[in-house]
This record gives sequence, C-alpha cells and structure tokens, in this order.
Amino acid sequence: MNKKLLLMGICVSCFFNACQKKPDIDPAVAGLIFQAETAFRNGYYNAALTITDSALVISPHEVDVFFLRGRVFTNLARLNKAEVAYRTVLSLNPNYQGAWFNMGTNSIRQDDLPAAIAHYKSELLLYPSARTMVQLGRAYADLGKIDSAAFAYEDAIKTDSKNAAAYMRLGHLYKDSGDITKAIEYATSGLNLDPGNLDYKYIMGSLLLLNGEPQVSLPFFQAVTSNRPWHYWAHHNLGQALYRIGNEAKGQHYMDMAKELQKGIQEVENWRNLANLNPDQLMLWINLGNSLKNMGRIQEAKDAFLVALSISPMSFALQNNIANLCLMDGDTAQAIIRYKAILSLDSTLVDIWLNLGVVHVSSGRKNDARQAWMEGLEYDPDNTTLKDYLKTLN
Amino acid sequence: MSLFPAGKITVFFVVILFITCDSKQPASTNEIQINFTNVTATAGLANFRHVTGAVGDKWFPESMGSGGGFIDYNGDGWSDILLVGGGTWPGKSVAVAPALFLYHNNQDGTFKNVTAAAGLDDLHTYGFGITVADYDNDDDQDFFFTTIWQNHLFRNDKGTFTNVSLGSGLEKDSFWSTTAIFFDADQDGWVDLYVGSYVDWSPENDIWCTLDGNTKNYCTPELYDGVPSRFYRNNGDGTFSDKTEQAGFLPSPGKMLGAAELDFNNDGWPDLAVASDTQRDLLYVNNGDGTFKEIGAVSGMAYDENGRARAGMGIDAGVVDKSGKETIFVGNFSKEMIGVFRHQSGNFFEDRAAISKIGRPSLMTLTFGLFLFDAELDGDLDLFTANGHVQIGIEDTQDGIYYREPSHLFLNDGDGHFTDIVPSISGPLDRPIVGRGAAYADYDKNGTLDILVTENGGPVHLFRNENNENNFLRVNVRPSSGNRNGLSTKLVGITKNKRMERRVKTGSSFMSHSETTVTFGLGSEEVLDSLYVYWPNNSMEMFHNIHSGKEINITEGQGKLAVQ
Repeated sequence: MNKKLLLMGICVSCFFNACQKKPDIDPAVAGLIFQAETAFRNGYYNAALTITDSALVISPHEVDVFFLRGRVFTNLARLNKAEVAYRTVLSLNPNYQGAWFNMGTNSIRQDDLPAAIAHYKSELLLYPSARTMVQLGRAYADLGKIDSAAFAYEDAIKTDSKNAAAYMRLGHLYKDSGDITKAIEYATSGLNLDPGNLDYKYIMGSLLLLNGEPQVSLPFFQAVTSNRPWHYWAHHNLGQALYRIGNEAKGQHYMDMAKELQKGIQEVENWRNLANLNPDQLMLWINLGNSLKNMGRIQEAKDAFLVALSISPMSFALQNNIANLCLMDGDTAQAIIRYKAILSLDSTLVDIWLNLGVVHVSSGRKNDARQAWMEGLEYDPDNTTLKDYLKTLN
Repeated sequence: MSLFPAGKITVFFVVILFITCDSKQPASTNEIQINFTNVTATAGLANFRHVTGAVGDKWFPESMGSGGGFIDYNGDGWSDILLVGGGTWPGKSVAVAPALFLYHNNQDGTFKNVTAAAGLDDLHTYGFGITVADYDNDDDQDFFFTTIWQNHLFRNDKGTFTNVSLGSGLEKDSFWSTTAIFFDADQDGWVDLYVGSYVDWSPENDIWCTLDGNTKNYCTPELYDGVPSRFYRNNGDGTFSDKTEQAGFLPSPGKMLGAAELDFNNDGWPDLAVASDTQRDLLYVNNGDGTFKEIGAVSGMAYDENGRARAGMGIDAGVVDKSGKETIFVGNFSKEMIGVFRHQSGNFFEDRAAISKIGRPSLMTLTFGLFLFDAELDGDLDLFTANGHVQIGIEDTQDGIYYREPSHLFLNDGDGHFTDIVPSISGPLDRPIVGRGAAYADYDKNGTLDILVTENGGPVHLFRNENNENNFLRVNVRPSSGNRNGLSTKLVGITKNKRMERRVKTGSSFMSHSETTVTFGLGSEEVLDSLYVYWPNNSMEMFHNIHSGKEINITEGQGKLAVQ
C-alpha cells in the first residue's frame, strides 16, 4: 500500500472535519468540541480524547464527538477503535457526511480493499463527490479491477472537471496499460490544475523518462529534488535522465545520492509498517520519528513523535524533540508552548531553558530570552553555555 | 540493422543446402490454436512429489520450492527429465527424501525412473536448482546441483553420474544456493560457473513472522542478510577456482534467485543479468576478458520505474521485437509487475513493462519460473511464467492474491507486444498451482516446445504442446573446439518476413534447465532462407535454404548440416 501512496502521492489523511454541528447543540458541549478539535490539530491527542470524554458525559449521544474521536484514533493508528467510533456515528446519524469515507480510507490502510470499496460506495450514495470517486477508483485499481477504477476516475472528472487527482490516477492507469501518450496527456491536465504539486511533478517526470524524453523530464525531477532532498525516487530518476542525455558525471552524482537515500527510505518504511501493525509500541514510533528526522522529513517526524508522546505523555525527551521539530519547521509558537509545558513539569531541566531562550532570541524577544537563561542558571550556576549565550545579549 | 556482431569475424564457409522434407501444409495465423495437454500421468511422472520438509516450524526455505528440467543424460538425442526432490530437516522428519529424480525418456511419450541406475539415489540434502552443461568437454551432459548446504557437481560417465564435488573446488562454500548457470565467461573453451546465493538463514537464526499477528508464517527475505553469489573459473582439469572477487562479482547484495546469459552490447562476450529478491537486479557486462563490471542501476534495469527494488525471481533475455535489441524479463512478487527492460543503446535499457502489455496482466501474480520460447512456432519468442505465492492462506489476508495461481502464456505479436492467452483458453495452464521451476524442451520430438513446471510441495507437470500446424527447424551446434554445448553461440534465422535471433545458453528461468537445442518457428514458411551462426570465438558461418521439419546438427567449420 505504501508503494501506491508514494507513487501517486495522494494524501490519505484528508479527513472530513467535525463541522456538522446541529443547531441545538449544547453550548458547553460545543465549547468542548472546539477545545478538543484545537487540541487534536496541535497534536495533543490524549488531551483531545480526554476532552471528548468530558463532552460525552454532558451529551452521551453527541455524534460530532464520536466523529472527532474517530479522527483522533486514526491519527494514532488505532484503526479498530476508529472504526468503532465511526460506526457509532452512523448508528446515531446514518447520513453523517464523511463517516463512510473515513472508514473507507482506514480500510485501504488495512489493505482491506473490498471493505474500502463498500464504504466509499455508501458515502457516494449519500454525498456524491469527486474526491470519494477517486478514492473508490484507487481501491479498485489496487484490487486489480482496472475497468472499474477507470470508470470511477472518469466519473470523478465528470463530477468535478478540476479534480487533479482524478486526472493523475487515470493517467497512471493508461501508463500501466502501455499507452504512455495518453498517460502524459492526463498527467498534463492534472498538473495544470495543481501546478505546485511536487508529487505530480515527479509523476510527470517519470512518464517522460518512460517515454524516452529524458531531457524534457529534467526540470520535473529537479523541482522535486530541490524541494524534497530526501526524495530517493526523484534523485534516482534524475540520475537516470542525466545519464541518458550524456551527462554521466552529474548522473552518477544523483545515482550515488539516491543510493544513500535508499537506506533511509527503507528504514522509514520498515518502521512505519511495524508501527502501524503495533500502534501501542512506543519505540516503534520513536524509531520511525528518528528515521524521518534523519531524512529531513520534519512534519512527518513530528507526527510520529506526537503518537509516541500519546503513549508516553510524561516523556520530556519526546516533548523536547517535538518542540525542536516545530522550531525547525518555523513554528516558534508551538515550540515555546511545548518547552514551557516541559518546564511546568520539571523546571530543573537546564537544556530546556536554554532551548526556550534560543527560540525567544530567534523571535526577537531578547528580554524573554534573558529571563529564560537566567532561570536556567539558577539551577546550574556554572553552566558555561548559558553564560556565553547571555553574553551575546549584551 | 546489422546482422553481424561488432568485432572481428571470420567467415569459414558459405554453403547452400537443400534438405528435402515433408513439411506440413501451412496454416494461416488466424487458425493457429495454442493448446497444451497435461501428460504428466501418461508420461509416468505422476508419482513425483516435491517435499518441503515442513513440520510446522514454517522455516523460510520451505516456501522456496525447487527446480528441475531437461537433460539428455544418455546422449540418445531425447530429452530426459531431472527433478529436484526438495528435502527434509535433520531430526525433524522420520522419512528422508531423495534429493534428485532422473527420468529416462522412452522415446514413446513415457518416462522411466532411473535415479538409482544412474547413481543419483544416495544423495540426501535440501536441494533447490540444477544447471546442465558438459563442464569437462567429454561430450556428455554433466550437472551442478544447488542446496542449502554444500552444492554438488555430478560428472556424467556414459549415462551414470559420479558425485565429484569433493576436490572440485565447488564444495567449500556452504551457503543457501539457488540458481546456478554455466557459461564460458572468458571464452577459453571451458564453461565457468556462477552460483547464486540467497540469504544467511539457518534454523538457529530463524525469525518469527506472521500475517495475522498470531500464527507464525513464512518470512520474506528483507529480514535476513543477503549472501553474495559466487563465480568459479573452470580450470580445465575437472576443478574450479573461486574467482568471485577477481572477476568483478563483489560486492553484491545477494538474495539472488535467477540468472540469464545474454550479449546485450553485441560484442561477442557473454554478459549476465541477475534477478535478486528484494534487492536491486544486477547486470554484469563482460569486460572482454572474462571479468565483469556491474552496471544494473545505471543501465535502468535494476529497479522498477520508481527506483524501487522488487522481488526478482526467474529471469530470461532474448530478442522479442523488430528492434533486434535484447529484452530482459524478470518475474516479481504479487503487486509487482514482471520487469521488462529492452536494451536501448550503450549501457542503457528502457522499461517496457507497460508498453509490452505484460505489466498489468502480471501485476497480481507472483512469478517464479519464466522463460522465452516460441510457443506456436510463428517465429516470435513468447513468454511463459509459472506462478504461485509463498504464503499459504494469502487469500485470507490479501484480496485478489492467491496461493495457487494459473500460469501466464504471453503470446508475442512479433513486435514485442504480448497477450496473455491463458485466461481465454481452457486447459492445464489455467489450472492454479504453486508454480516454481519451469523449463522447456521438445521431449517428444514433434518440433513443438513442451513445458515442465515444478510445484512447491507438490507434483511436477509436463504440458505437451499440441500445436503442430506451423513449420519448424531445430538446430544443435557444436564448436570445433571449446565448450561442447556451444554455449553463447548466437543463431540468426531469416525467412521472408522474419529475423529470428536465438542464443545457446543454460540458466534463465528459476533453478531450472531447458534444452540447449535452438528451435526456429517458421509459421507457414517451409524453408529457412538463411541461417547465420555466430560462434563463441566470433567466427561466423552462413547456411541457406534449409527446409523445415528437421533437427539438424552443425559442427563449427565443417560447412554442412547433419540431419539428426
């Protein structure tokens, strides 16, 4: 399944939001749902679940709460628990938009393709949409039912002629059937609709290379390698393209880079598979996070560490890792929140005071930085790093 | 397109021969019916059972299966059958399975078990593959047998075999070996040996794997370290020397399951394509002196279109279209297409899996045995694959994937576009089996190529090719000096409408051995207009106007054809 994900680069985590609140919802419950949603979006999964528990005490049959719980459990890779939540949603409101869709997507993650097809069809009966049709086509394609897949993608295009994913996936089917020209036509349509999509650029480059057009494929691969330096596949194919146009030295350079990246990719896939199979195993998520971080895949690494943190919520190391990744990702506000959260549990952690000060400095808040480093020195008066940092503020 | 390979060519003879024969009336292409009959029982092979030795431990080698193939052990010109019996684990099973089974061709469509009479009944091991060649140049067919422990070299002494492993130089290593291939890498006239190695597995380091999280199942090779394959130079005195490193075969990732000899750059030196399981496939280009350089990744044949290593199993190579370029075919795991890579130019190959129309129909099957042959004798190489999964009960956990799978028979339209005809014909190829090894030969000497398929933990199948409408010409070659089987000889047959390029070779497929006789399918043509023979020493001979319906022998430098 991961192969297909990477091949087509279609995001599988596009879940419907819990935004179908009834007009007569209890304001207290609505407030809790808002808090839970915020916690969920910021990666505080345990908090999100706890808040939904509180909401259910007030309103035990609030359908939006169960839907949100389904989404949280999905992010935590507890797919069975997610299914229970979505089933509850449907028992309370059989017409709830997105419940069947999310169950379908979870079924694809579990490689249960017939179930995925049934779920997407149920969703389509209620809410026909191009996005669901594309997902249905994808499940059919993975099951080897090519005609049905093509039919679903064509339906998606009829429903929404601007659905880029439908064009890309239809192009993929044509490629597999040996009609590269047609595949390139559809990929061009998809890319025109979503010109910044790096996954689509990679697909276009690969089709051109397959079509014997290495020179034309170069800018597509180069766009991917420059934006995703961890992208093994683009490096490999860029190397192939360069070799074929006679630029052997550069080609070899990218092939060598690809070879190095391949090890990391394999490591990530191994840990990801293991973690998804054993979602309660803390170390699997930590290893996955570390592997992703080593490859420079910051957002994905953060997601893995957030799951780990939900298993071990008192882990300062994990919280610190996440804060550091937030910082690397440019999210200083989240980084500060997470450093402060650690310090509220143990204010003697000098390294955290140090990191907090660094974030403040990088945000131009010198006084806050000074205060953080001074606090750190209270616990470790001889810390030369903190002293040196403080000197830089003078 | 040149008919001549690069390099120096010496033309010895140009002979025009007319061989009369009673060719059958031609049939139009539209009327040709492909049909195979399962003749296993009537041929006397029904009692054979491959043994996995499984007693519930789910040890990795039990899922691998083994090969078999054709050998003319008594030199009577009829293909006999040699099968690998599998094996049992010491201390685990009361019954000990024989390692090898040899069946004598009675020349009437039946076979007789002559394992004991041929001296092959006293070997007990856990076996996998065979490769056949006359390694000592004494005009008979010897064979090499791979196992999970020590491998074995059997010398043919006028129809009986002697295990000459000890002292041969081939007995020292004790790795899990898979497919082996004889070929004359340095063209010194003595066939060398490449022995594929798989992974570092033993009962002591066996890993617990599962499909459902509860019960143990067979592991896949990602969990074990690969063991590099080995290359042995034939010393010409009955012994071999390990020249793996000197010949350029190190480093290598191991996990090798298939090897095919080819000459993609047409320089007259044999190259080697290797299929690796969950590792990149390899392409060894001959440096022109019997040493090699590995260029798989750069060439574009090592990975799928996204640079991902697949589970390479069986492999073969041949010219399948009008480009005249060699194409490599690699059998892969379920949800991985069969790899199809056609030589483009220089050291580059192009991915033709989709364009050839083989990719999609092969996507859901797990292919082990795989070979090119002219199934309907129309002059084009077609592709047969033996399929079967490694996980018993896979259908319970993965939709659309089955433990027992039908075979594929991809018919070539003459320009490298294929159609799998198995779904549209009823017959033995459509019957789901746990396919592993696969080989071909014209065992009944009617000119058509018959198929032998082994199953893991099951019977062997002999499928007789019932297509007898088209004309054919079968050719055996014998160099004046050097390797007696004429390995690496290239033959090009020309008719009014076709150019057919074939190579004499061992290896290919999965742990199995096909006949080395070359078959030209002539369709409705009654005469092969020209036959060019490119000998391993780069000399070339031409023959013209050869009538069909015969098997002929060509000895290098004699300038004439002998009808068998």
